[in-house]
Amino acid sequence: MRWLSFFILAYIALGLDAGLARAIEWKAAPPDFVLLAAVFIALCAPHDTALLACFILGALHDLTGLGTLGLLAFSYGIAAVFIVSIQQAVNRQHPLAHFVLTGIAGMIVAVIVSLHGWIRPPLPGVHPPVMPLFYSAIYSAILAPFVLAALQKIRGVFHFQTSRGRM
Amino acid sequence: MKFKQVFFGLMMLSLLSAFALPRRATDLNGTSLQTFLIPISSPTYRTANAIRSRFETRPVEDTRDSLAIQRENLALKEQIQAMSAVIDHLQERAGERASLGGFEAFCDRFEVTAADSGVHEAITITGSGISSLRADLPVLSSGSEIALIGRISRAGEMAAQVRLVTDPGFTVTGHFVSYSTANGATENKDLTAIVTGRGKGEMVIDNLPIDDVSHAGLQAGDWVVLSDDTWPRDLQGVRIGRIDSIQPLSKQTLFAEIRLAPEQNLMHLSDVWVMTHQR
Repeated sequence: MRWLSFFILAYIALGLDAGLARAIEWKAAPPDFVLLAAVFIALCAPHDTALLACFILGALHDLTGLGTLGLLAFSYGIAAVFIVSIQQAVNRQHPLAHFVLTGIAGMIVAVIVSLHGWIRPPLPGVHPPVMPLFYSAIYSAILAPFVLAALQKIRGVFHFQTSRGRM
Repeated sequence: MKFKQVFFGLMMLSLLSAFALPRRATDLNGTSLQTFLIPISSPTYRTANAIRSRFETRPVEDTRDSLAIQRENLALKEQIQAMSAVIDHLQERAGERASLGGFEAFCDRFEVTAADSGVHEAITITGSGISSLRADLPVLSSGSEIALIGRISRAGEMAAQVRLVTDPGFTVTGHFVSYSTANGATENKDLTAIVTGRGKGEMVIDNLPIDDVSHAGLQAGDWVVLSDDTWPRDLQGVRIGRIDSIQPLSKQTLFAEIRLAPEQNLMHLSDVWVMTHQR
């Protein structure tokens, strides 16, 4: 994978997340553009590269918010492990695959972030709301077929190589 | 070393950082990395919020019938007229007209360029003079309804991050301002409310016995204003939010759960005031 292209994608996704996501939120749940980028990378990049890239996306997302260092890096890493493990079994171009995989990845992130909110609340007895995280996963899944279809059209700039191709 | 081991190590490190290490070591109150996103976040934030504001209808915050609101407005106008006369008289007598300016005299205006998209409620601000800001400075909403909206959590050379009052765990104390047709707006300083941010644009007060709340006659629509010695003196009495609902606390029914909402959605503000100096 061409890492420069990856970092440009990460930059745009993080910028949209900071600028656009809250403006188009639904029930206090914004779409997660960084997760959409992570799902695209996990679907298309070779196994090891995909895992590392998704972990980096999560870490960058941690660094641009008010959150806890490592929380989204870990969550995106786990989501990437899931997507990469079934990468070969799904049609990477199909909108339904984009919808389902983004939905599941969003749910994984939501569960881990919710657990973190319950185990380590900001104040004793004050737990961050959980439902917006799950709504956010659904919202991202609905956007996924459109966003990932657009990204699939420019996948050439990423120079993805399959594991077999590199051998 | 194999990639699997490196990746496993990174994952374990992030897991430890998120769930095991002390919060003070791992909680990011925003980083300067946010600054680099401004070329994308600022135009998209402004454009999207401009479009959103065209279509968004403001939620009805007051459920009373229009006659009651008209009566309240009339009574408030009379009260303001009476108070204005008193203030004018006092100002002239003390010769302090200039020093009785609004918040603008102590504040600088900054543009909002981004909003946190995670579980936290925070915004990023920028503008000339941003490098002079420091952590913990109070932040107020701009426009006709000036209200306390949060504190600077991290200040950088090109941008600063504001933790909003609605962010889970943000705590501030205040007291109530009620309205009655007979007495107009009356401050109730007997009940000290601990206001805690709960996310989703909400704040909650759950430290008051329900009997005291009933006895004080608090109801939806009343305001909570700042009454907290840890904040600047000039800000005491500034509005924090409006009571949305009052219910018994589910875990301790002897206490009330008072839900508050700010006057406007704090995640969609276009600009804010930062109180950079004091009287």
